Amino acid sequence: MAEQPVEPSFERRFEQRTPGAVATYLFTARMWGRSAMQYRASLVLVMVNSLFMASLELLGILVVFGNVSTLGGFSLPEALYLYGTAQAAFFTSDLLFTGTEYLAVRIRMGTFDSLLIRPVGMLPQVFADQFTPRRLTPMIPAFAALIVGLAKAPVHWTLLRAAMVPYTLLVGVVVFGAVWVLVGAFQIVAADASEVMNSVTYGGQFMTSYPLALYGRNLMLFLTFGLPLAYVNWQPTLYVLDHADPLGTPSFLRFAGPLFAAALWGVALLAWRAALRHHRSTGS
Amino acid sequence: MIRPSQPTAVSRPIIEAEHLSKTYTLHKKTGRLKRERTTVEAVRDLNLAVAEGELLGYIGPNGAGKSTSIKMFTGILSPSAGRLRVAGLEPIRDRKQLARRIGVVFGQRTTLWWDLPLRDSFALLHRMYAVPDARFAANLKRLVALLELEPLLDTPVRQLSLGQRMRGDLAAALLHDPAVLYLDEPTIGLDVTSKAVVREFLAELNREQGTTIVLTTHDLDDIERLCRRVVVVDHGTVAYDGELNALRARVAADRTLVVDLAEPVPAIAVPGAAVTRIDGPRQWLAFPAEANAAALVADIAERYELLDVSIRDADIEEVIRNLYTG
Repeated sequence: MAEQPVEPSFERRFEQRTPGAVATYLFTARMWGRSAMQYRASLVLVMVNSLFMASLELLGILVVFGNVSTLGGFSLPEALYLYGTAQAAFFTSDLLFTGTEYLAVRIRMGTFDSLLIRPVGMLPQVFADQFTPRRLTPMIPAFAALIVGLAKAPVHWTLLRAAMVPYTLLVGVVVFGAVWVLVGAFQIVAADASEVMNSVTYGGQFMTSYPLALYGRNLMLFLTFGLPLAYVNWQPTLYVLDHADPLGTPSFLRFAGPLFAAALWGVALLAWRAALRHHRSTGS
Repeated sequence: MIRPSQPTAVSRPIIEAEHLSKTYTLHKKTGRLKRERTTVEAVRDLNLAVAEGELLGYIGPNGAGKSTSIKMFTGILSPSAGRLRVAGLEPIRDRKQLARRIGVVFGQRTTLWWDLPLRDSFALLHRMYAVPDARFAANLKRLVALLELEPLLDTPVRQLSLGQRMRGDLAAALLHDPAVLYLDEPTIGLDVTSKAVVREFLAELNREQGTTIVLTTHDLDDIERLCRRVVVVDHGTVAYDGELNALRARVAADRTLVVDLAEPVPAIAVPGAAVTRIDGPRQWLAFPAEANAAALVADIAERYELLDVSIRDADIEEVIRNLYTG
């Protein structure tokens, strides 16, 4: 049949534009945040707990420096700064983008489809999924370490050095954002694979659907965040603290973060699109 | 294949599927490392044209390809082959645009926000679909009145009963004035009163707003009360497409004539009908659906003294069962 123009009767719907990515993210996250607030007591407990856990890790660093004065050429304030930027960037990305972690569950429950029938982008909806203020508290020790480290470290401040601090954080959050997209893409493909398998072999009772999501979470985090971290945190910090790279990498790499971030986002978006295409061809 | 008469206003079908197919590739573990590839044709060569304003019953046994095809119609799954247009759009390519023109209700899964008042879910949809304020207010008012949602608006969704939640989901799917509404088991688990409310609402929606409705259900009462046209999907393809009455005629050919005679007699012998049961002065006669019942009654009345007659259509459930097995 030849292509005909769409019947006007189909066009009696509104002509308004679909909400953009940021708007979609904000109103979806707000709904989740408000949902989380319905269970205030539990929320407070979990927040206190995660604050405690994150602080304990920081305490570990202090204990180490109680015995040695430098570690790998870094003094305590320098180490605090390094640790602080990494943690702050990670937990900010965790607050904003971890919705991708719930994809395997959504696919298993069949609720992923209800995102596909909305007239808004998939990524903003997924990023905002299960948004909760709970993830705010681990940021407290992270930023505390960063600020204390900055105040005490013997930095020879220049305008460029000062600008490198927010820059390090920003690039860090952006790069980790791309990693969360990759995590999401992987979850879709992995969940689909086990779902389709299960429907044939085990009738769905077999619960090994999310290998990374549930079991190897720490390993996965280490592997996926380890490499980017070197570029977004380590390299600019070397510049701020005026250290030479023990690995002897050329100094332009100190500023290569955005290039790395752009490349990683390119890869992540391709993977995401491939995962969506994969889901749509297998379903479950 | 029997097709119902097309509406007089000539327009392009709002759903058109031509030779639509969906093939899944499964990897089955057969050994420690070996995997076997099998392909499953969930939908094969499915053809369907739905005109705007139709209320279509879309039925079939589990695993027949119903859900898979609906998922293709709604832009969730991509077809393996064939051509598909919904509201003039290509579902996968135009996903966001299509989403504005369709509403979807999954009977067993709510899309409402579990922990928040019903009102909040509606407010979110208002923004998500960018429904103009005046339009949204009018739609909300109408839907709240029709579905009796007023007392529930400030109740968290998790506290609603199944029937209340279904009414909430229906309203949520319609706030943006979709041209097509897909319903998957909308009456499952509902009590008789809730079922009646939902059915009445759907009939009115179709009649008053002209919304095209595709109704998937195992509750054949839904079909019988709402749909003139029925599409039966079996083994991934359209096994029947036509009017409900014609389906009855085609599959379970027989209707039943029950006659009450003045006194017990041996089995009535009339051409075109056969006695299936005798109980005292009452006899049951099976006759083809397309046969003239009046003539048959006249025939019997000529020879016997008739006190009363009644005619029963074949039960739709029986009809469908025959179709699946036959």
